[in-house]
Amino acid sequence: MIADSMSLAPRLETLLGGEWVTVGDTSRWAVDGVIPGIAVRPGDSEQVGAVLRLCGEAAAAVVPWGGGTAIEVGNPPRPPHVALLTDRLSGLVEHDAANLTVTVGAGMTLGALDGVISGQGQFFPLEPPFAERATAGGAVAVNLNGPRRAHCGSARDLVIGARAAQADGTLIKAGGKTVKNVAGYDMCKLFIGSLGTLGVLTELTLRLLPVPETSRTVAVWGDDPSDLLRLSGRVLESPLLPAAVVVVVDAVAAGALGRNASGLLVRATGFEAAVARQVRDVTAWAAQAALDAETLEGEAEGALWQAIRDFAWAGGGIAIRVTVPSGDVPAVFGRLRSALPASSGAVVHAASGTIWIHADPAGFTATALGAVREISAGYSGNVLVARAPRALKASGDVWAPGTPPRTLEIMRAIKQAFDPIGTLNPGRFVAGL
Amino acid sequence: MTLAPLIRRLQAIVGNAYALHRPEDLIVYEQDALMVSRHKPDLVVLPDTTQQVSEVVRAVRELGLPIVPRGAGTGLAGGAIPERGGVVVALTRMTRVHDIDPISKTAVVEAGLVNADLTAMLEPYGLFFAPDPGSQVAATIGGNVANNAGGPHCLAYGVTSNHVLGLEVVLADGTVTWVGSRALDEPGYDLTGILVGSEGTFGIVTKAIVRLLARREAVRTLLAIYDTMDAACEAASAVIASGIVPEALEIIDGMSMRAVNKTLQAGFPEDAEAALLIEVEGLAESVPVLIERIEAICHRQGARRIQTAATAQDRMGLWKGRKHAYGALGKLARRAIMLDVCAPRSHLARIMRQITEAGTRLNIQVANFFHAGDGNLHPNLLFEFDDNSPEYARVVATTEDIMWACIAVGGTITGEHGLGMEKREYLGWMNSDADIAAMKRVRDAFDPDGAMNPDKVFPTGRPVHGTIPSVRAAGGADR
Ligand SMILES: Cc1cc2nc3c(=O)[nH]c(=O)nc-3n(C[C@H](O)[C@H](O)[C@H](O)COP(=O)(O)OP(=O)(O)OC[C@H]3O[C@@H](n4cnc5c(N)ncnc54)[C@H](O)[C@@H]3O)c2cc1C
Repeated sequence: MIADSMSLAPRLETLLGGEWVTVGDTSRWAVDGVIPGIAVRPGDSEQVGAVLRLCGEAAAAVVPWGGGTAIEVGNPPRPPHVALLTDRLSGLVEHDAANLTVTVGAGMTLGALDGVISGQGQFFPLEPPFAERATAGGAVAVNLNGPRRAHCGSARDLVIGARAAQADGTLIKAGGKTVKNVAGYDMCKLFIGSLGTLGVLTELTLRLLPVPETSRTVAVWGDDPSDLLRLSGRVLESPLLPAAVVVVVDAVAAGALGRNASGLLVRATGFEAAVARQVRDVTAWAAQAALDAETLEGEAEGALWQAIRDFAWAGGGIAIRVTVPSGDVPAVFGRLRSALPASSGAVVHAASGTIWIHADPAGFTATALGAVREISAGYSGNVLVARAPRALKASGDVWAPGTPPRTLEIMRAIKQAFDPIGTLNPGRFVAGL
Repeated sequence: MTLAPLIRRLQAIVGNAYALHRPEDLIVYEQDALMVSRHKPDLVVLPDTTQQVSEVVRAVRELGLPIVPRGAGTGLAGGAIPERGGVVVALTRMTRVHDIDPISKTAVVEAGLVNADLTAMLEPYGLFFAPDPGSQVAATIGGNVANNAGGPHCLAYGVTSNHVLGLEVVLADGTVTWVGSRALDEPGYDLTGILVGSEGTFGIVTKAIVRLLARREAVRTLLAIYDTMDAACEAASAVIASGIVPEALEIIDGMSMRAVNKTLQAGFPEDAEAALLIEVEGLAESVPVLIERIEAICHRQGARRIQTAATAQDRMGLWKGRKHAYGALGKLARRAIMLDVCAPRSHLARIMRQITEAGTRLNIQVANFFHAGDGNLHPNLLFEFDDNSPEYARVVATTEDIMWACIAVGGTITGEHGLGMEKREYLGWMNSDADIAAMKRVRDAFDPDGAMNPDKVFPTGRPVHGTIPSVRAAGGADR
C-alpha cells in the first residue's frame, strides 16, 4: 500500500500535467491539522473521475476541496489523503434566464455566480457563510444554509440537476434543468449534504429567483432576548411573509454587528407597498412591546446580513449549529443560554429553527457540548459541531443524535455501494461513513 | 402454491374483512388511472396500523411474493398495478392525523390520508399542505410522496419533496424505521429526499411528517384568452421572465375549452385557441400590484380578453374550466391518455408547436391543459380504438415523439406522474447506463431482493405496451 501511494504522485502528474499536482508544499490544504500528501487540480469532470480511480487504486483517501470556507465540517480526515481542488471546474455552462436556472461548474464560487446572473436581475438565495468564496459544489455538499432559507428554500429545494464523478471514475448525472422532474429517483438529494462521500460534484443546475425590487430590514434592539424571541414569534405567526427573521443574542453576537444589545432583525423584500406594510407592522409591534426599532436599507442592511450569515464562522473559535422544530426555538434557546459559557454568542434563525452558536474554545468544554446535545435531543433536534479544536471534535461524532439503527444500515449500504473501497472523504461523515 | 395458509395468516393480522382474496374483490385492484393495463393481484390487504403493515410484509415475504404498495390508485403511470401478481398493500384505512403543530407548521399523518382531507383539517389553523394535485380529493399523502406529486400551486410553493420532512417506512424485511425528523438538517444522507419519488420501490411509507404553510391573506386570479397557443405561451414566458413567479400559471387549449363548454357552459369563446390562468397570493398590498403587472404583460402579448377575480366565488368561476378539463375529455373521444412531460420554460411555445405537429403527423387528436409556469405539459391523446388494436401503435408513436421533443430541449419525460410501468422503458432515453446503475444501487440498499413494487421505474426490456415495440428505441440508445 505504501509503495502504491508513493507511485501515486507521478501517476497523477502523468494524468493531469505536472503544474496541476502539488506534492510536499500542501499545508494550506490541511484539515483539522491533517496535511494532504498531494493536492491536485483536475481540469474537467473526466479528470476528476480519473483522479478518483487512481487514488482508489493507491488506497489514498480523497478530500474534495471547494473554496475551503467550510472544509472543517465533518470528522477529521484519515491520512494519507489527497486534496482534490475543484477550482478549475469553475465555468459557466448555461444561464437560461427565461427558465430561471443556471448550470455551472461545481468549482464556481457563489460570488462569481452572482456576477453572472445579477445583471439579468436574478440571484441564487442559498447564502452560506462566506458565500463570496464558497463554491457551488462545496456549498451543496456541506448543505449549510443562510438567513433566507425558510423563505427562499434550502439547497435541497434549489438544486435541480447535478453531475458527479464516482469513486470508480465513472460520471453520472442527476436531475436536469426542469423544475419538475420525476424520471427516476431524485438522485440530487443523495449528493446534497453528503459531504462528497458518495461522489465529487462536478456540475450543478440551480434554481434562481428574481432580485426583489425593494429590501428593508427592521432592527429591534433590546436587553432581554426573550422579549425579542416573543416578538419574532408574533412576526412568524402573522400573515407577513418576511424573507428572514433572526434574533441576535447577547453582547458577543451583537458585538459582531457593532452593537451592544440583543436584536431582532426582520427582513422584508418584494414590492415597495408590501415591504412598507411589513416594516410598518413590525415597527408597531415593537413599540407595543416597548422596544426601539430602526429601519435599515442599502449598504448598512447588506453589511448587517452578511455579518449574520458569517457570524459563527468569522474569526476563529467554535461554531456549532443546533436545529430544532421552529416552534421550539424559544424553549430550546432559554435552556441553551443557561448551559453555555458567557463568552459564547448565538444567532437564532427563528423561521427555520436553526441556532448558530459561536464559542471561545478556552471556555467551552466537552461537558458544555454534552449539555447542548442533550437539550437539542429533548426537542427532536440535531447538533453539528461545525468547527472546533480537534480534541473536542474527536470526543464523539460531530453530528448528533445518532441515526436510527436500521436507517443507518441503509446509509452504510449506500456508501458501500457507491464507494466500496472508501476513497471519498472516508470516515468524515455521520457515524464515520 | 396454495395461498390458503397465507390468507389465514393475513386475516389474523388485519381481520377477515381486510384480507381480500375473492376474484370479485380483487378486480378493483387490477389497475390504477393508467387505464391501458390491468393485472390481477393474488391478494389485497388493508392494514390499519404500521405494526400490521410490518407483520403483513413479513408474512408475504416469507413466501417470496412481491408486494405492491397502493394508495388511492389515482396514479397515471401504472405504479400501483400488480403486474407480477403478489400482494397489494393498500393504505386507505390508515388515515389518522397524529399531530398538528401550528407553531412549527408541521403535521404527522398516516400515509392513507387523502390529500384534500388534510387540507380541510388544517383550515381552522389557517394552514394548508401545499401539493395540490388535480386528484387531491382522492389521492393519498403516501401516493403523493411515492410519486412526488405536484399541482397547479407547486409553481411557487414547490412539489411534494419540498414539503416532506420525514417518513416512517416499513422495509421489505418488515422492519419499521424513520428517516428525517421534525427538525431540518437531520444528520446523514437525505433518505427522506430520495424516498420521495421512489414510486413504492423502497418500502411502504406508513407515516409522513409534512411541512405546512400559512394561508396567504390575499388571492387574485386572472384569466386571459388568446387567439393562438403561441401567444399564450409567449405570455406565460414573459410573466416569468419579468421576475414574477405567480402561485399558479396554467394554460388550457381551445379543444379543452370547447369540451368544457359542452359539459358546463363555462363561457369560453368557441374560437379561441388558448386561455392563460394565473393566480397570485400574498399580502394585501402586493397582490394588486402583481395582478396589475401581469395584466399589462398579458395585454402586451395580445390577449383578446382578460378577466380578474378577487372573491372566492369569482375565482372558482375562473378555475372551473381548468378543474373540469380532465372530466370533459369524455366529450371529445372514447379514450384518452394523459401524458406528463416537462420542458424548460424558455421553450414553451416551441414545444407546444411540436406537440401539435406530432398529433397531426400521426393522426391523433391532442387536447392540452397544463402547468405552464413550470413547463409541465399534459398533452391528452384522444382516440376511439381499443388499446389492444394495432392502431394503438400511433398513440405510442405520438407519446414517443412528444417525449423526444422535450428531451431535445433539455426537458424530461415525466414531471410529476412518475415512470411506473408506462414510461419505464424510456428511462434510458434520459439517463446513461451509469446513471441507471447508480439508481439501482440505491434501490438495492433499501430492498436488496427487489420485493417492493418490482419492475417499476427501471427498464425491463419488454415492449412498452402489449406487443407494440418502441418505434424510437434506436434513437434513444444514441444518447
Ligand atoms: C384526474 C387526475 C388528476 C391528476 N392530477 C395530478 C396532478 O396535478 N399532479 C400530480 O402530480 N399527479 C396528478 N395525478 C396523478 C396521481 O393522482 C398522483 O400521482 C397521486 O399522488 C397518486 O396518489 P394515490 O394515492 O392515488 O397513489 P396510487 O395511484 O395508489 O400509487 C401511486 C404510486 O405510489 C405507490 N404508493 C402509494 N402509496 C404508497 C405508500 N404508502 N408507500 C409507498 N408507495 C406507495 C404505488 O406503489 C404507486 O407506485 C392525477 C391523477 C388523476 C386521475
